[in-house]
Amino acid sequence: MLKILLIYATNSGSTYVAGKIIKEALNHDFAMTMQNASETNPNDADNFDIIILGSPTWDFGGKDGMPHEMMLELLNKWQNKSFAGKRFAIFGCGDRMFVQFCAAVDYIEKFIANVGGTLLLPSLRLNNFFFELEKETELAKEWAGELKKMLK
Amino acid sequence: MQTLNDLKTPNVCTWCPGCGNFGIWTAFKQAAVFEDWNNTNTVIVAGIGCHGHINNFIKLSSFEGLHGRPIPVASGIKMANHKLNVFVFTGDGDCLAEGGNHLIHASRRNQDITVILHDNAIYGLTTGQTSPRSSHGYKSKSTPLGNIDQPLNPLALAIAAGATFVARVYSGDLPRLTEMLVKANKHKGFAVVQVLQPCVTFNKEYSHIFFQENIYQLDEKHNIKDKRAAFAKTLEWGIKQIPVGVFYEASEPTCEEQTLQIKDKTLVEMPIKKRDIDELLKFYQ
Repeated sequence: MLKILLIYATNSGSTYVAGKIIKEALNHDFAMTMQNASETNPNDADNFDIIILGSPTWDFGGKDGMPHEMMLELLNKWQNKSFAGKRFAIFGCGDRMFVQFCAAVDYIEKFIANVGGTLLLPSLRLNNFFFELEKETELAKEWAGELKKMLK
Repeated sequence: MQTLNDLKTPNVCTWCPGCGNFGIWTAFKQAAVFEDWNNTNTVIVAGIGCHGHINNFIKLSSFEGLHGRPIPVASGIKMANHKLNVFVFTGDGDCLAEGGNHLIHASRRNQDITVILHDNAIYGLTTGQTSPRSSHGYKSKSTPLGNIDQPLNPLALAIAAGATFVARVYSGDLPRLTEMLVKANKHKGFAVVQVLQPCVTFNKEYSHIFFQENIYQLDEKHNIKDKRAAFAKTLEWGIKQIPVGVFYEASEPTCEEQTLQIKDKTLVEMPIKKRDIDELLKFYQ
């Protein structure tokens, strides 16, 4: 059974809840582990076949459109690590009213490309998650379904 | 079984993006789904402040009290029907300034109520004045030269006053916050859960990253039955030195268990006695 590590970072909980929906959708078919970026050891990734990363978009150090600080910290620790052949999937929560909607996802996509990782499918960008809960939950489930199909 | 969606209301959320209230809101709804807290078994009461709007965003029987008074309202609800799960949402201003007296005496009474203390160390709704939890020297609109008062320690206060479940969690740690709300509700007696939450707009001192970098989990070495150890832990606060978890838990008779009149039935299940007061009125005429 493929082992998947889902790493999330969150302030308000939306990325966590979205991550849980994705995890639950994949639970039956894969060995799923979900953990907070702040509690992730950089070497944890070595023990898994696929890594799913989830982050909201915030200002960091005066720069808009950045991943959550804890996700950034993890990515910085991964900077010099080789991820050649490692498969990734990315999701994020954001607000379309904001010009940098889900810019953290773009940032992480670039990072994965730079460290030699492979993106399994187009990233998931969730809008206004808590207030469009029904619709965005469906989107998250569909995305997890797509991922499942690709891995089967 | 209900879902998160069942607890949704049509009201537009007015909290700022990134507000710690979102974490508390989500954790509470998750706990409600797990534990099946619904309109037949649960009531929520809130005070005044940004936190108080939570009433508008959770589809459960609710009451928004006067500033600082959610605990007395919750106390009355519990007294009338002690079978209900009763939750109080209150802010650090609401609970520790305007409502400080209520927290003390409700702790003494040990009613089976869960108080969720939204602690952002500021008055957020009124745009950022110093609260009883603001740090010494904190500069705000109300203390432009710096706060000359020391911050109040709500957990030490609650333990000293007699609360039988005292805990602290960070609002961004959803799994632990959800678990803690369930645990606090299952505890028989007065439970106080201090939730460290940033006010992302007005309090630049206690940010998400501040809490994420400086909290540590209390482990099994901490004896939650030991009141002295619990007091010692409540005194810790600083860089890499903010404990979170259960500080203290004791098994003491609750107010409801000691009130003989409601031993067999709740007050709402008892018939209302109709008394003829005409004779009495005549006596005073």
